[in-house]
Formats: sequence, structure tokens, C-alpha cells
Amino acid sequence: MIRTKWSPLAWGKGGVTRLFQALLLLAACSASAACNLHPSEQKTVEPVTLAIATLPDTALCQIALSRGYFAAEGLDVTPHLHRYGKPALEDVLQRKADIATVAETPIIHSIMNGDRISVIATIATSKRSNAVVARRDRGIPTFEQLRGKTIAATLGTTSEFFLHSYLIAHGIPVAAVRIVNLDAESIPDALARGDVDAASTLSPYTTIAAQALGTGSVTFEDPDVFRANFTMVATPEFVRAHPGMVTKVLKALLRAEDFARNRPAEAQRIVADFTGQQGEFLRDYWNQAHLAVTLDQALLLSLEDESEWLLRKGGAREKAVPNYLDYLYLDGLKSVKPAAVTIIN
Amino acid sequence: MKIKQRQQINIIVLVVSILVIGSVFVGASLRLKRALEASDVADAILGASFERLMLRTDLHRSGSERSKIQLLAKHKQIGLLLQRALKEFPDAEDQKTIRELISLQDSIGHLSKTLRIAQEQQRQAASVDPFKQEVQDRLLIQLNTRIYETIQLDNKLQRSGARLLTSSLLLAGGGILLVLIVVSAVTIANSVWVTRSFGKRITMLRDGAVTIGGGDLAHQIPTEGDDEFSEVAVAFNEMGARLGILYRDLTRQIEERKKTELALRQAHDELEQRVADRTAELREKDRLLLVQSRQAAMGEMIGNIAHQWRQPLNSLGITIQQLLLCYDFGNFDRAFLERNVNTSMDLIQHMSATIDDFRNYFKADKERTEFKLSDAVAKTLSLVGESFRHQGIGVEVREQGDPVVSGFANEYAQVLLNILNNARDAFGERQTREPKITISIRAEGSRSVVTISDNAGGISEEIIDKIFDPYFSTKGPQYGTGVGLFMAKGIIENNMGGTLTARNSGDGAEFRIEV
Repeated sequence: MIRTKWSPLAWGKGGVTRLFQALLLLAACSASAACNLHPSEQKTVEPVTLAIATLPDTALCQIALSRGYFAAEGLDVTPHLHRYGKPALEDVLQRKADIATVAETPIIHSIMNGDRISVIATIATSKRSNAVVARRDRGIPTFEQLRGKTIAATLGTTSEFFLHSYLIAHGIPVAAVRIVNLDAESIPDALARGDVDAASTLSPYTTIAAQALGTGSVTFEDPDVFRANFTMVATPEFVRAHPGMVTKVLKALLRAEDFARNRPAEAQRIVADFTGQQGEFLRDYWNQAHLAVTLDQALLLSLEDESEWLLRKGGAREKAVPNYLDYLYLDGLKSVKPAAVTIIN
Repeated sequence: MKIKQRQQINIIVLVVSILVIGSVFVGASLRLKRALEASDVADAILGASFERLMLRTDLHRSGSERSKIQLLAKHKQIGLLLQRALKEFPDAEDQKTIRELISLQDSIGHLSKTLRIAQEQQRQAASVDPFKQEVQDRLLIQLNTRIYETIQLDNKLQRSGARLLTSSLLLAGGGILLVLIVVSAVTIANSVWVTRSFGKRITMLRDGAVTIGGGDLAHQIPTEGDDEFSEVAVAFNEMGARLGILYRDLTRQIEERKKTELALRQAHDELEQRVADRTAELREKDRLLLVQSRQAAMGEMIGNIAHQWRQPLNSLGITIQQLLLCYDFGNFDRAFLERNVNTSMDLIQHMSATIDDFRNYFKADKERTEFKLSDAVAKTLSLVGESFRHQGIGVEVREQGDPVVSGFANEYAQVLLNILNNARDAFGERQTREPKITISIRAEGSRSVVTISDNAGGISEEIIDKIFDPYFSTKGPQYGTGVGLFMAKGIIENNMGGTLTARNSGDGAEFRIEV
């Protein structure tokens, strides 16, 4: 059985329609899950709350829900839906959810500020999820003209880190621009209204913002400066108390991984129902992203890289990069797919 | 389906199996070759990636032109290997991995170049620029990430190559095994089907043949199907039908033959009965003839005795009459009486001896003995001599030597007597003047020969070949039985191993007895 919980913090305008769609979808998921359960499995059902960002990067979670893979593992999932990962992580930190889907930037922000988090697995990586969308009418035909401009970003998320990386890699000091903090869902409208000259954000808001500006937009992206890692996280207490549940979650995600790889069209339809994104966008995402349940060395490097960036930028309580091996829960994934764990420890 | 067609199908299955196995083998070999090539490419990419990492470290340490050239060459080699990998790995997932590697290759190239420029600028700068250092750090961490990702994907591609290799081997072995299993299953199924089918059909044929062989020629063997068995069944049925026709014909012929045989048997029985009757009749006639012959012989014997006794009886009568005359004349005295008594007794004894001679003459011989032919002739003549003298028949005996033969003397004498009596009868019939019989006794080599010839005019040539036949006689029923010469020939030829022949010689007949 799947129950859903509405998070007012995560949903803004137009959320009523999306909420209705999501409710219908989850009702269908509940029926499907119930059908997939055997009587013996129904006896050992365990309740679990998942805080899920309705982004393509959580496609495996969405597929596992829709296909009833969680239920098949004996999990009674209550999903908390959010627009992106940072509020989902906050659900876990506030013990509103057991497991969250979130990118690495909010994770290092929390850890560097004293939170205890265990990364269970990476469920998606992408080098093109983030981009800077600019208004041409503000004299920004190339990235060089970003100097001195007002650029919106959702601080504490990948959009902020990407903006920093992009600017630095292209020889523009961060101090040469003015960064404005905006929620991800607010950025397209703010850019369209001309409140900012450009905005660093993530899919699908990059696409929404570019489409809102039409030919008046210019998008700057660079796959060489950033790799977004979308992960599943929980508190260490939860992982220690419920290792079996974590294993079941990972098994369901691995089934979803197979489904996404072998039946991409059906998988994209499921993701479309969750995210509201359609056709070409999802096909493009499927080509450039890597939807797989892993724990790889690159995640460790990214966590350390972004931690060093945060230390340099300021805003962290910690004074040094922590040993992230202590924040990675390897045993869960090792128990179900050892080959997916390539972190050296 | 005909057996020939089944054999053809089996051959086709075999040929197809060989072709399929060959195709699988060729296909598997090609796939294996490609898998080996793909695996080699994956290994080369992974090895080259590590070499590039080593060269980058070398360049970072030395900053030499040599290490820079080598790093670029290795980077270019990896690019070429990736292009080759695109051709070697057909799987979509592998293609995606390779495209990611190519993307990473571009990123690594771009990041390396940018980092190298930044480092050059840093070296040339008089002081350390924190921002430029941050740029280098940012580029370096991204470069490390890309290199790490590249190695991970290289590993993935290598595993995929190994899997491709393994799957090719499994496909080759499995494919051939599957074909062999299918062929074996088809062969076994075909064998079972053929065995069951043939067994059933053969059993039907055997049962049908047994039934037909048992006499049920109307039995019909089922002719289902269109194979040779059905043709054999049809042939069996036709054979049964023909046999039925033949059987009915044979039965009819046998019935007819049985009827014929019965008729023949009846005819045979009738004939046998008639033969038996006739034989009995002939035997009766023989018996009567024998009786007649014996009676005739007895008559002959009595006649001969009468002739033998006539003279002694006359003498005895005279002697008896002399007794009375002498008494009347007074000359009767004891001496005279004694002399007359002696004379009478001699006569009586002579007459008694005559009876003994005849009785012994007709007494059957029991054992073969050796006897002289002259004795046999003399003995016979002693019996008939008086009669022949009374009838004026002269008898001359010519003896050359004194031959002895082994046999039955009385029977031999009876033969002589029969021939002599026939001559006497011929003399009587033909009123022969000066009838004469010549008996010649001689030996010819180891044989003893007696010929009896007369001058009665001989035997007619018309009947000379029949005179030894039984019941043949020229004398008429009151005088002859027709068995005399027949019996005489039987005595000489059957009992004594000799021959009895007759021919005309001179003015009469001549009988030759050769023993």
C-alpha cells in the first residue's frame, strides 16, 4: 500500500493540478502494488516513507513505485513528493521521511554543517542536468558577458555549485557576478520577467526557462565542469536500525534500473507522469544521463570537491573536508549488487 | 508415406542437420572472432587509459615536451580505439557506454588542454594568483573525475567484451548442443514412430498371413496408408483371393478324383472279385483237371497193370488147370503139386511186385537224389513195355555213356511216361505202320540229354508252340486233359533246372530233355 503526503513547502503555483495527477498515479500504483503482492509477502509488509524529488533524476524511484517493485519487496511506501532534492533531504533530517532522493550538493552542505547522513546509493548521474540560461536582451550572447550580471540560483543546491564551477572554469571570478537566491520553481518566471539577467538552474527548469524566453534566451552548459550525482540518503540511525529495509529498497531500485534500460519508452512514460515532462526532453535525458544504482569513486571525489568549494566559499561550520567514507553506506548495495560498488575502501 | 520417402526424409533431416550444425559452427566462429576482437579492443582501451594516466602524471612531474607528445599520442590512440570499439560492440548498451567514453575522451582532452594552459600561465606569472589556482583545482578535480569515470567505463566495456566472448562460446556450444539434441530427439522420435508403425504393420501382416495360412483365405488384411506395407497387404489379400479360387478348384478336382478313385476302386474290387471268381473257377477247373489227370493216370496205371498181369494171370490159370488135368490123368503127386504151388506163388509174387512198382512209380519224391538216366528210362519202359508190345510199338534205347543227374527220379520217369504215352496215342490216332520210338541217352558237356523221337508224323507247325500250354490238347475231352506236357515242362524246368523242348525231326516228333 502506498500513501502520499503533500509537502506545501515543495509545491508552488500550479501545484493543485499536478497534485491531482500525482494522486491518480499513486492510486494506480497502489492497485498495481497490491496485485503484485503474494499473500505471504503481505504478512511481512514494512512501512517506509520516501521523500522523492519529482525530477527525471529520480526516475528509478518513480519506476519502482509505479511498477510495484517496492511493494513486491514487502515495502509499504509512503512517498513525499518535492520539486527538487534539497527539501526532500530536509524531510529526512526532520525525520518526516526515512529515505530521500537528493543530489550531492545539499548533502555536503548538511554534512559540513554537522548533520549525520548516510548515502545509500547513487541512482542517477548527469553532466547536462544543469545549465545557465541567460537573456540575450541583457547583452549576453556568450558566457564572457556574464560578468557583472545578476544571476539567479538556488543556493545550497547543484545549481549554485554548477554556477560557481562554470564561472571559474571559464575564467570568471564568482565575485564578478551578483548571485540571487531563488527557489528552482521561481526561476523561470523571474527570468522571464527580467528580475535577473541569467539563472543557473537544473532540468527541467532550464528547459522551462529557455522556452519562456523563446529566441531571447541563450543557454550555457558545459559537461566538463560538473557531474551531478543524484543519491538515496537516510540518517545513519535509520540505516543501522533497518538494514533489511534498505536492502529491499535497493533491490526494488535495481529492478527499476533493468526496466529503464530494457523498456525505455515505458519508463519515460512513467517519468512523464511524475514530472510533467514529455517526449523529446525525456528521450534526451535518457541519452545523456546514467540511470544506475551505484556507489562509485566519482561520487566520493565530487563530495570532496564540493566540500572544498564550500570551505573556500564559506558557509560551512566544519573547517575541513570530512572523511566521506564514514558517510557512505556500502554494505547495503554490496549485499545485492557487489559489482555496483566501486568505491575503494 | 512410403518407406522410401521416409528414408528420403531421414536423409534430408540428416543433411539439414549437418547444414544447420555447419551454419551454427560458422556463425559461432564468426561471432567468436568478433567477440575476441571486441575483447582485445576493450583490453587495449583499458591498458591505454592506464598508460595515459601514467603519462599525465609524468607530464605533471616533468613538464617535458617528450611526455607531452607521448600523452597526446596515447590520447589519440585511445580515440582511435574507441572508434574501433564502436564497430566491434554491436550491443546498444555497449554503444551507449562507448559514446560515453568518447564524450569523456573529449572532456579529458579539453580539460587537459585547459589545465595545461592554466598551468603554463601559472608558471609564467610572477606570483601565485589564488583565482588561477582555484581554476586549476576545479579543472583538475573534474579531470580526475573524468579519468576515473573513463576507467570505470573501460572496465565495464572489458566485462562486456568478456561476456560477449563467453556468450559466443556458450552460443557455439549451446547451439551445436541444441541442434544435436533436436536432431537426436527427431531421430529418436522418428525411430520410435517407425518402430511402432512398422511393428504394428508387420504384426498386422504376420497375423493376416497366419490367418490366411490357417485356411481363412477370405481374410482381408487392413490396407490403411499408402506405403509398401499397404501394398504388401493388398498383395497378400490378392494372393489370398487367388489361393481361394485355386483352393476351390483343387477341392472340386479332389472331389472329382475321389469320385473317380471310388469308381476305380469299385471297378477294381469288381475286377478283383471277378479275377478271384475266375481264379477260383480256374482252380476248380484245375482241381477237376487234376482229378481227371489222376483218374486218367490211374486208368493208365490200371491198364498197364492189366497188361502186366495178363500174362501171369494166364500162366496162373494154366497152372491151376494143370492141377485138375494131372489129377484126372493120375499124374497128380506131391512133387507135381509142390512144383505147381511154387510156380503159382512165383506168379503171384510177380504180380504183387508189379503193383509195388506202379505204387512206387507214382509215389511223390520227397528229396532230391542222384539217379542214372538209364535206370529212369528202364523203369518207365518196365511199366509200359508190355502195353507197347501188345500194341506193336517198337522201342529202341540208345545209350552213350551212363549219365547221372540230380533231381527227383519218379517225377523224371513220369515225364518220360507222359511223352511215351503221347507217342503211343499219336500212333493210335494216325494208324502208324510199324510204330517205333527211339530213346537216346547221352551227355553233352555237363548236361545230360534224353531225346524221345517217334515216327508218328510229327506235330503240326501251327500248334507246336502251344503244346506246353496248360489245357491244350488235340485228343478230345474224353482222352486228354491238356495238362500232361504242361506239368512235364514244369517238372523239368522248375523242379530240376533243366529244359524240355519239342520239334519235328524226320518222320515224327522229337522231345528233348536236358538236365
